[in-house]
Amino acid sequence: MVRKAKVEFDEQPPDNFDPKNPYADPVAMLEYREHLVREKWIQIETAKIIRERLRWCYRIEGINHHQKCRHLVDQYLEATRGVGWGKDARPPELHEPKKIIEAE
Amino acid sequence: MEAAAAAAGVELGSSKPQIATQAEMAEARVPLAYRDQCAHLLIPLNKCRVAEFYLPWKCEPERHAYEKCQYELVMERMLQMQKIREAQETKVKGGASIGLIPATAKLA
Repeated sequence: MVRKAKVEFDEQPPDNFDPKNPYADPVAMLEYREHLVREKWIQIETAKIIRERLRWCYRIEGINHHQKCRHLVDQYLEATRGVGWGKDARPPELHEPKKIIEAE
Repeated sequence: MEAAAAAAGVELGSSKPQIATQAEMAEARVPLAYRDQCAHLLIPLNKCRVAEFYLPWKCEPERHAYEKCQYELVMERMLQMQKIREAQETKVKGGASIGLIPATAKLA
């Protein structure tokens, strides 16, 4: 056990994981699952932080929140796409990943 | 509404100038429904109200000025609507009508 001065986070998914053949490398499969869960939690906490900022923006700006807080509202709506549970009752365009409409 | 006003020869909108700018009203946090031609009087009135804890006998000069301005705006709108209604009733019936304001009353 070496005492390190700085925490190093593993940001990348495992390289040798094959989705078509998940049991070829069980260790890589477990690492990939950990990676997925960690990314989902990061999304959830990011949405919470943006929500708190939005709440304070509404309080501070008062009636001007229609103009001043527009960018935070957009960020929060984007941050809550596909995040969390119990999304069956919501309209799909609000929680599914945003589909880029390609003009023909 | 615009068609009826145009038919009656009435010009909509207020003849009062807009003194307070949008930036000033946003800075003073005037509610959206009160951002009219009297907002430049409402801004000092609201400051005085907050400073005097909304006591009813305080800020009377500012409130009087603001209410007079609002009264003029309301009377102007009522006169415009009366002209439009008279024109419509004259077109439909062909007779005179009883308006909200007598013809003898003059808004100086």
